[in-house]
Amino acid sequence: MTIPSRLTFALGIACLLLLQHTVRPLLGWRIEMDWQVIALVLMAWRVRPGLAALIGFGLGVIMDALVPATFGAGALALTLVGYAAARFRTGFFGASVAVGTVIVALGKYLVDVAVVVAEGRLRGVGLAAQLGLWSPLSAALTALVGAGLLGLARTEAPGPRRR
Amino acid sequence: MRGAGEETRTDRLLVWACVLVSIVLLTLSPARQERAASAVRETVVAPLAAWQVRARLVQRAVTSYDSLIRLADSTIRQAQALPAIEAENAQLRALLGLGAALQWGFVPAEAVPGRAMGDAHTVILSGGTRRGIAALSPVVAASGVVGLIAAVEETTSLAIVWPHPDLRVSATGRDGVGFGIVSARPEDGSDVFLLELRGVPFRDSLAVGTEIVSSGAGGVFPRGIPIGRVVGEVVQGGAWSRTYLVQPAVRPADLSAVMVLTAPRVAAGVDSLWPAP
Repeated sequence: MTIPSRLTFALGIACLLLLQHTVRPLLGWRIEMDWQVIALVLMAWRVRPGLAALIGFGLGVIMDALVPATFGAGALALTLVGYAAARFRTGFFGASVAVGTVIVALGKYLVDVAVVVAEGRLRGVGLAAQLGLWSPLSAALTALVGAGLLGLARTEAPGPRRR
Repeated sequence: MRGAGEETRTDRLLVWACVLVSIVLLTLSPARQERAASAVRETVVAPLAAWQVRARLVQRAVTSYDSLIRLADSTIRQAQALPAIEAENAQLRALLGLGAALQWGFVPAEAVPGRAMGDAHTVILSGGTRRGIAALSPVVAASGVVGLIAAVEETTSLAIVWPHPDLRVSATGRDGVGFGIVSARPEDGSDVFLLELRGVPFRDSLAVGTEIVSSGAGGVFPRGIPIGRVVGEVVQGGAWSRTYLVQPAVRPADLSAVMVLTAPRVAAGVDSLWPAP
């Protein structure tokens, strides 16, 4: 990656994280877009799995700090998402938009499950509706937007490891 | 040399460390979790938290806009229906009706009751000689006698009103029975303000509730303007005349608009403009 492209990438990531903390609460939709997961997968495409996990952990701690009842849950989920995104890219599929999109969707769903379970606020029908309806729809929306952004970023990402 | 995508022992260590720390954070007591979260919030996350809070406030403002508008509308509506404003509106409507009935020979004016010590028995009117107001002109409202012009200037005038001790009106019952002079009742420490109808011939008896109107004697107040209603008789041993307590038809302190009758109108009379209720 050239220096200008690195700067562009960093600026894009900063924008996504900014959207996470401004546009998302501003919209206040039940089906919410998770810009943070997209940013994490984009970053995970460019770094080693350990660093991707560390970035995910950092983003998770930031997310959890704003919702103290789930402190640690978001960090655990995003650590796993970051690691998985980097591992899939290095090990098997390269910078595949399809795989990245699936990881974004699963990652968003995993984050929701972790936060909802750790929070322990929802029970019964409310829990079922959240995990069976709203979270999957949120994951789908995030994946939809993520697919576009991953497609844009794909050309810059390194390929899979050659054995 | 290992590439950017190659997994090393360091990577695995980092992953496990992150997972372990996350699990430790999850198992902390709520108080410790809050302390840790607070430490993060106050340092690296402070700007993000501020943005998020601001975004939430904006979102709340947008979603609550309609309900705020409804609240403001209902508040405005309630303010418009305040009793004082309703009473003033009623006065003004009644005065408009009186003006239509009089047709000529009157000057409408706003009344500003005196608020200072010693001003309680006077009102300042927003009209003077320029508008044709003269001294000793009667001041009336839709409900009856208000007072008398005591002093006039170019643009304002001063009226004495009940319970000024100098204000006296020749009066009689609506049916013409029981002539006398109405004046303010000397203050007896009571909060209830009443007038006295003095000098009623002993042979004339007025029942409680009888309406008292100006008699027209003396030429200052024309005949037939309501003054008040009899609420009782003052028992005076050995007197040759009767004295009645009268509840005034007008409370000057509550007035905001009045009419000043001109001399030609007084001379022409106002009979039947204030019909018996």
